[in-house]
Amino acid sequence: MSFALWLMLAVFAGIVMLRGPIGLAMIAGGVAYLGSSGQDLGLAAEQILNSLLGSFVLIAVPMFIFAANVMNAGTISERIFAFAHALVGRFRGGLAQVNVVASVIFSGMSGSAIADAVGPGMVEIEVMSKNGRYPRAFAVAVSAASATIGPIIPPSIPMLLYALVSGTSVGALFLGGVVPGLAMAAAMMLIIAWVARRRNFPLEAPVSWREFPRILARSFLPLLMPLVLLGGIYSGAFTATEAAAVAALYALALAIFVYRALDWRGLAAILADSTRATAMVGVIICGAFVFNYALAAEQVPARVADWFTALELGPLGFLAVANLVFLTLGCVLDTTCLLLVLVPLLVPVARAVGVDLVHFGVVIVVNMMIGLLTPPYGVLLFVLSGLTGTPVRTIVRELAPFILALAALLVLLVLAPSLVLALPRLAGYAP
Amino acid sequence: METLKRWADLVGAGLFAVLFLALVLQVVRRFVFGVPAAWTEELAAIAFIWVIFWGAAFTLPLEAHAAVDIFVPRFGPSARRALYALGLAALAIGFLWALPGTADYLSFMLRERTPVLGWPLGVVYSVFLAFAVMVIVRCLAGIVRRGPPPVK
Repeated sequence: MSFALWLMLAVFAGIVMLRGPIGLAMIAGGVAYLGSSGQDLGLAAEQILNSLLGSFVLIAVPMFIFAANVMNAGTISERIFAFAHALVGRFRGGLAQVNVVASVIFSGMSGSAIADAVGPGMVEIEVMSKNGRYPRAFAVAVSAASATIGPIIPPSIPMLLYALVSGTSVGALFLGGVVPGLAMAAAMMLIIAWVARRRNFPLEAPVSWREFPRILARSFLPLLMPLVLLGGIYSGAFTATEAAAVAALYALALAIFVYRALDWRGLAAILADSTRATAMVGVIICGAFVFNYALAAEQVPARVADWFTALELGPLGFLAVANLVFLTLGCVLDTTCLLLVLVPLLVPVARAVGVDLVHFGVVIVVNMMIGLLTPPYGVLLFVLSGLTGTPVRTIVRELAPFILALAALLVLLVLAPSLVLALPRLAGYAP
Repeated sequence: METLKRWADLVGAGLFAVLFLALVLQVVRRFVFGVPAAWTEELAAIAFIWVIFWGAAFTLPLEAHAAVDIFVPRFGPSARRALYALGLAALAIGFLWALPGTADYLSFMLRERTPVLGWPLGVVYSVFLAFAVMVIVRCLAGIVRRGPPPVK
């Protein structure tokens, strides 16, 4: 590796350690690389702008952000919560179970764990900790853990990014997440049942089945959203980006015309918030473009491939090493940054050792969901700790069993690729 | 200052609305005419670029970006302040260094046009220059400003 490449990494790591913005630090690192290797400094802008103009699939990201914001403002989260409550609220620790089920439903409409945490997640924390029924830290932990289901069950922003850098089909990746996502939910519900019995969590008055049709009617239109979204993608009616726009349009129509929960002022605020959130993710994406240019120019991908070849790993060995690397880096780095910089380095290796790329993608995204929950850099911890005023340390203590369960599930997914691949294969996926 | 922020937000909201409507129009055209118009896709891509860089330049404070709290929170307030300022200084130097090259590239791109709409790429991309300048301004403001350092 050349001096210029080391300088790039040093500038990036230095600024990040000093609590500078990650995305901007990547761009500054890229500039240092270009400058010290005697290249044109305008190349940074060129790489960023041309890549953005050419990556149509990336535009799905702001659309999913927008759709989630509309659903959260338009009482759609509350309706889903009521529906989940009627289903599983009657068990011991019922509200915690409701939290997981509502996340599963919401994840069929949203592709971002953070959207799930700040939307339905916050609603559930409020309900769970009202009158001190549940310890607040436990309520926050359940919301954080269940939010990680969001990007596993389709749609999914991380899987879109993976599809972009690996050239795999978005449809196959999305389908591949269904079984793992449901397995995550099942594991979490088992843990809650166990914890609820041990700590004697309260029982809720069951919602009578006679009330059920009314609750279903209240939540029926939002529940159709996953069908519209996924039906559109799989029937080939529209691309993932267009599907995301349709989902946002559907949520907007429900919020404005059906539920009348949104006026012009509210809509303007949602649009401005979506712009901010898009800018935040977008800057990291830009940084990744610059980094990738430098890595490719220095032939790092080929070196990584050589290094892995020298290890003579089989598919399992490769997956084990890759997962350990991602688990470690996931504790300190951003998901988008890892997906767009590190994954492209590993994809050719995965292909060479005979790992299915859809399997690899789903496993890596599940892996990075654990990273969202682990300190020091766990976005879900920061967001929920900031919104609820609960210290990160107490949340982590309550999260421990959930993190362990997710890690166990990750091992299972690595060992049994058909858990991921069975559904895509049924739909005609062949690598 | 508050009025300026409100206007920046409003423009950002408008840009996002353009992005959204371009995609909606594209879906409608696909259903009505069977094929989507190429210009909606290009407009969406341009609006996407403007949303990112307008948003990052004028609506997103530096503290709101994704950042890592590993090292800096271990220190007392004034040392924390100084370390944070050091990072911002490095960031400002990087962006300042690239500014002339960026401006050159953008003025060169005035000659090129987008494939469908035929807009000059230099104009389409100009928002990136605003973004780069605003990053430098925000870094300098962050270094000069007193008050508690940002910690999560």
